[in-house]
Amino acid sequence: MQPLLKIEDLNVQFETRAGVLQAVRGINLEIGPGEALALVGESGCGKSAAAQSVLKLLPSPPARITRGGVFFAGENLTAMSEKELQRVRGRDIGFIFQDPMTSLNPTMKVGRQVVEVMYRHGEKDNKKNRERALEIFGLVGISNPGRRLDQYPHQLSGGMRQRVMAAIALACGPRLLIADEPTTAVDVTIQAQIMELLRDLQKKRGMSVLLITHDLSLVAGFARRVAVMYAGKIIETGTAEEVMNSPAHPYTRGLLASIPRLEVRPEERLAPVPGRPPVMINPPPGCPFRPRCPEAMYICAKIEPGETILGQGRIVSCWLAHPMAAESRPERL
Amino acid sequence: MARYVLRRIVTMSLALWLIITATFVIMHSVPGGPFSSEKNAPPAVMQNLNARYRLNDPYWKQYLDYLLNMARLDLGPSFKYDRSVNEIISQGFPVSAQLGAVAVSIALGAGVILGVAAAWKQNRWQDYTAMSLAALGFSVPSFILSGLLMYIFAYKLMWLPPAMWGGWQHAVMPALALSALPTAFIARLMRSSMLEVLQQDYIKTARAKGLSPAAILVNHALKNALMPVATYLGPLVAAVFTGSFVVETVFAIPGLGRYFVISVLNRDYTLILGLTVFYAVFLMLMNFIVDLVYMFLDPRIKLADDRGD
Repeated sequence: MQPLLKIEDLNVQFETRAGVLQAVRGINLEIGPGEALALVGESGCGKSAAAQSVLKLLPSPPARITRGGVFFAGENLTAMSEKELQRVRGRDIGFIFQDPMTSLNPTMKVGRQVVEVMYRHGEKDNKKNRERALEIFGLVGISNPGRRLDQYPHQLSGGMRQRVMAAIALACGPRLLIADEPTTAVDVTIQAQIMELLRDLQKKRGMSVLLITHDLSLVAGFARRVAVMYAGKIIETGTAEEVMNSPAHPYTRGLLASIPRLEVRPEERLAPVPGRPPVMINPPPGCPFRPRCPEAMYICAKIEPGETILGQGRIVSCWLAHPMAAESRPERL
Repeated sequence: MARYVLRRIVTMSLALWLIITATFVIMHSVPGGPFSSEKNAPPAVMQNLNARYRLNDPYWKQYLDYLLNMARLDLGPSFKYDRSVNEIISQGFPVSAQLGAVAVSIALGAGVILGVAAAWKQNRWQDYTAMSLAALGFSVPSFILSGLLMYIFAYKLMWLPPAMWGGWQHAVMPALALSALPTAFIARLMRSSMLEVLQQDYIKTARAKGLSPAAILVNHALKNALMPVATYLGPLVAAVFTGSFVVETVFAIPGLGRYFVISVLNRDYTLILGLTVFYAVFLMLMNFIVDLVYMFLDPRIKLADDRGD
C-alpha cells in the first residue's frame, strides 16, 4: 500500500549566530492511510522541527530544508511553491500545536477562527460554514457549542481551547493530522480527554495521525508504530509493543525507566536519563548519546552508529545492536 | 459602564483642579505681570488697570474667583486681546483642529503602512527605506520642513498657496509639516509591535490553516499590532489638534497654537490658565476615548467596573 505521508532523508538546519544547528539529520518515516504513528523524544531532539517541516511552517530564515523531501499522497511537498502549499495546509493536513493558550488569536471569536479555514479552502457560504463549525464543535466534545462559537479564547479553559484547535485542524476533513505535543500544556485529566478524542477521531474518520510527544506513556494504546528521535535522528523504530516491551536502544530504555508506573513503590525513585541532549552545532564525532549512555563502548566515541535492521519495520541505530557488539563488550569505556 | 464613566469624571476633575492650582502658583511666581510691558504708564493708569482686572485682590481671592468662573465655563477676559478667552479658543480651535485632523490622518495612514511594510519585509530594502524615512521625520525640525515645502510647492511649482487659511489647498503643506514627526513615531511603533505579533504562535496557526500572507496580515496581525499605536494616539491628537506654534506662525494660520507661547510671554494670566485648562480637558478626554478603543481592539480588556459576562 502506498504510504500517505513519506518523509525521505529529511535534513533541516537552523542558521544561528553560534553556527549551523543541525536540527533534523536525515530522518525517514512512513505513515499509511488511517495509521497513527508517534514520534517521541526529549525537547530539542528535532521532532517539532521535523513535523513543522512537513508543511514548511518553520520560519525561513533561519530554518532551511537542506536535503530530502516530504511526500504526501505521492506529491512532493518540499518542492511545492508557497502558493501550492497553502492549498494543502489546513485542507489535506491539519495541524494541532502545543500551546492552546497562545495558538489561538486572542482578539478573534473562536467560531470565526474555525470558519476561516473552511472559507479559505473553498466553501464561501459562511452560513453553511457556521453550521458545519457547530457540528465539528460537537464532534470534538465542546459543550454548548452554539454559545462557544461567539466567545473569545480567553473565555475558554485550556482543554476547551485545545478542542477548538482540534476543530480548526479538522474543519476541512484532512487526511492527515499532525499533533505537535497536543497535551503538554494542559493538565493531566484534560490530557487523557484530548488523547481519547484524537484516538476516537482517528478510528472513526480513518484519518492518519502523526503524534509528536515527549511522553512515551501517551503512546501506548494510541499509535501502532513508534519512532524515537534523538539529536535529529530516528534512533529506534518499531511497533509500540516492540519498543515498549523490548527497547533496543539504551536511550529508549532510559525514557521508559523515567515514566511513573503504578508498580513503583514510593521509596523507589524514578530514574531520569542523566545529562542533557547535545546542541547539534559542530557536534563531536561518534554517537551523540554516548556521553549519557550507561552502556557506551570504545567505538561509540569514534563513529556514529548506522541503522541495524532487527526485523520488519524494526530498526535501531546503536552499536550494541551490531552483530559484533557482543565480542567488543570488554572495550567498554 | 455608567459607574466607570462617573469614576473617570471624578478623577479627571481632581486632576484638573491640581493642574489649575499648579499653573496658578507657577504663573504668579514668575516675575512681571500682564501690564509690565506698558512703558511709562502713569501710576494712576496702572492702578486703574489693576483694579479693572482685579489684580489688587489677594491671590487666594483671585484663585477662588477663577475657580468659580470656571465652574460656569467662563474663562475670563484676555489681558492683552480685546476678546474673552472663550472667544479666542472658539475661534482658533476649529482651525487648528481641522488642520490637526488632516495631519493625524496622514500620520496614521503613512505611519501604519510604513511600519507594516518594514516589519513584513524585515531587513530588506522596504524595511531600510521605511526606517530611513522615519529617521528623517524624527530629525528634520518642522520649521525647516515647512520652509522646504513652501519653496518647492509654492515658490517653484506654484501648486499651492504659500500661506494663510482658506480652502483645502491651504491645509496641505502645514498638515504635511505637522505630520512628519508623528508619522515617524507611528512607523517605528508599528514596526516593532508588528514584529512581535508576527512571532506569536497564532500566526503560525494561521499559516498552518493555509491562509495567504495577505489574509494573515489583515485578519490576524494588524488589529493586534495596533494597540501601542492607539495608546500614542490619545496624547498625539491632543497635541496636534490644539495647534503648533511653529507651523501656524510659518504659514500664518489663525489657529490656537501660537497663543500657547504668546500668552506666556505676555503674562496673560487668564489666557495661560484658559489654554491650560482647555488642553488638559481635551487630553484627558482623548485618553478616555483611547481606553474605549482598547476594548474594541482587545476583547480581553474590560472596563474596571464592568462585571459579569
